[in-house]
Amino acid sequence: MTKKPFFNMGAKPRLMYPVLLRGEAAALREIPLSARATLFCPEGAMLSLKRGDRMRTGQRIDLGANEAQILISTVTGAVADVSVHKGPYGRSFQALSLDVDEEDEFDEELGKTLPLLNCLPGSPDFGTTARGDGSVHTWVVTAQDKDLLITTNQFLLHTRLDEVREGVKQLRGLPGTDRVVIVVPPELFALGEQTGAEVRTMQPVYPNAHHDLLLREMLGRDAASGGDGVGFLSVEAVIGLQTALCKGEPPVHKVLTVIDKDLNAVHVRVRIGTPVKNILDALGIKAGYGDRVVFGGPMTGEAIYGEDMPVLYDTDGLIVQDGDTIQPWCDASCVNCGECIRACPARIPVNMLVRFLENGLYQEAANAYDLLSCIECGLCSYVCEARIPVFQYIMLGKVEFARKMDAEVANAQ
Amino acid sequence: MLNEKLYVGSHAPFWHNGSSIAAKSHQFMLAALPAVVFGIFQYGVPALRTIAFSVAWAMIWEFVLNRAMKRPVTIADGNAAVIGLLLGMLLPATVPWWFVILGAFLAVVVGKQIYGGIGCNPMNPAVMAYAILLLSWSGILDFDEALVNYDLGFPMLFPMAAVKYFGPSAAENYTLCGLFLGKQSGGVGTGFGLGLIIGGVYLMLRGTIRWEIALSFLAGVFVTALLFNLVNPAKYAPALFHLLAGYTLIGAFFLVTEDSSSPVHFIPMLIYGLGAGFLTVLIRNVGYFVDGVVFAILLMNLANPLIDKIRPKALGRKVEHA
Repeated sequence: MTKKPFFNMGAKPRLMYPVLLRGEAAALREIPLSARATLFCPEGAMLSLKRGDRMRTGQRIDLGANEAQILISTVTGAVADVSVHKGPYGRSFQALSLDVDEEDEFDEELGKTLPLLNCLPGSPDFGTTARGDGSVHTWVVTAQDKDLLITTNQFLLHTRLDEVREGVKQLRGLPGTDRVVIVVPPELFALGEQTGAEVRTMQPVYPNAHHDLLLREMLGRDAASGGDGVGFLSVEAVIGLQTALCKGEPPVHKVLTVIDKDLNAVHVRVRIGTPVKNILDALGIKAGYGDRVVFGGPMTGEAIYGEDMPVLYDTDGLIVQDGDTIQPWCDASCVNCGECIRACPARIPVNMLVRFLENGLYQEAANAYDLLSCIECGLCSYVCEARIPVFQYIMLGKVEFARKMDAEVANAQ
Repeated sequence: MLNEKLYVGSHAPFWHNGSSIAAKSHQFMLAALPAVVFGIFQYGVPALRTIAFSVAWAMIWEFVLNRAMKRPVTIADGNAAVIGLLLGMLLPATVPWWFVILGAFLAVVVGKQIYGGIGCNPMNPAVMAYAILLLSWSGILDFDEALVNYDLGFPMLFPMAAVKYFGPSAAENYTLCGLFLGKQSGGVGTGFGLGLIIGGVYLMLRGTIRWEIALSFLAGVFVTALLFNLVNPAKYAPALFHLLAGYTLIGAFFLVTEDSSSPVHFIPMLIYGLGAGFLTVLIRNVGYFVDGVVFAILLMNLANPLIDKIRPKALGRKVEHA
């Protein structure tokens, strides 16, 4: 938790990303397999599995009609339960729980196929390619994690450099690839050069690692017109790609940065689908009533409700916050102080936007007050003097707006 | 399954920089303290009474309105206290008690609460109340009439009234140093230039007020007064006199920078400050009132929503050419 400097002249907050230097991090800790693993199916998928069905590690799970979405089983075991999990913003997912066998039985079929790219750990971002048309011509490998406190990708760059180098070679070999760029903080420039990709440095000031800002700074492009054909992969995703294509093993592990109440960081490697309880118990971190446990970073993460929540493909960090340090949000009205406008990297008139969002006028918010320009960094809420949860209003607004747009498209047909 | 370990499930971000409206109000009051203490030292117990009454009744009116409107009580954010303090600083020390209560009512209720509370007021509440009182009871707020029994060792004629009615040669009676160090009559907290500047600089450095507005207001006053003085020095007072006398300094740091009624984007802030400065000197030199700060601020407050539309394009938006 960083406070405003005493003499600040109303300037933009300058939150720094952590830079991990060689030899600074402790060794990776392995978390043992849990008794039960849970996987979340993407929205809209229909599972046809029932209790007792057996799955092998790496086996593709049939998701019904949606062929573009891929889900692989990360453990070997029998299906124990298929239930519904309610996620944020009213979305719901199907949760598949498996009783885990101790020995892995690897599935042979999914070894070396490209569609695997959709289910790499570390949440790859393909820009418009995900919608199917056009291939990616520029791959941007990010060694800097998007959020503060997390150093997962830097850790992997330090400890598994050879695999990253191999992964970059694989990326160059993909059809349509022109450039592979790696983005590193200035201190890790030498490490970046050793990967064989084009190196670009980025000042470690939040939120420079957000993809829209990287597009603008690294490639000189505007997200609205230039996002086509640029794909973003974290270092972890590149390692996962290399594991799949070269070794034939499906990527089923996730490396996370776990941060306890005293802000000590430790890196762990865990099977995707393991409940958080196992990680906390293995590390001896106590999270009790009234504390907050966050998946991701302190600015853009997601607070989870219980310790049974499983580690997902995009869980780069796990933060435990003490209940006494939690600052509550208020339902005050905006006082027009202008802090959010100075903090916003996307130049959005946040004071006006939040008034429209509070009142549910999403169409006007998107048209006239730049709701869709938001890069989702969370700085507006971080600085808000009235303690309004601006970021929450924005995310809800985006979800509702998208829902309305989809409904309009569906109605028009 | 039931789980006794209930975690807090709030939304991102999970950090906050610690600022709050209450902290801001406390900083404001702290910055106003040098000027207020000096004013109480000059005018004695009546000044203390005015300030205390003003602050207290501002908070009482806010409490009463919150209860009457069945809304949560908001006096803890300190905003009502700040409005009361500013109003008290603008008034002469010897105003009647009922005047202060009425002034607090006009400031907090008519100036802020009827619009929906903090952040919803289109005009600065303290300035609006002062304007209503000035138009209704100009006699009580006439400094020369109110402070007639005081003799503090310097010319007790209100400087702006002096130059308006006796010409700029009357400005010679006031040395710039004297004006700066509080040797001018005025409201309880408006005389002590040094204290107001110290408070203002403190607020600007801490980011409580927006320096763009304060400095552009001072620039507007200075440049306009300079132009008037250069064109006709026999009729218009010098620029530094305008800067240090009257309500200019309290206006620059405490009144024109009120959050809700001032713009938030950069260029609009400059336009707003310069416009308010320009109007101040215009009203003083050419207009009817002796001190134009109050009405200049109100006029720019009304123009604020339009001026605030001047803003840079957001990320990803294209410039539309007609």
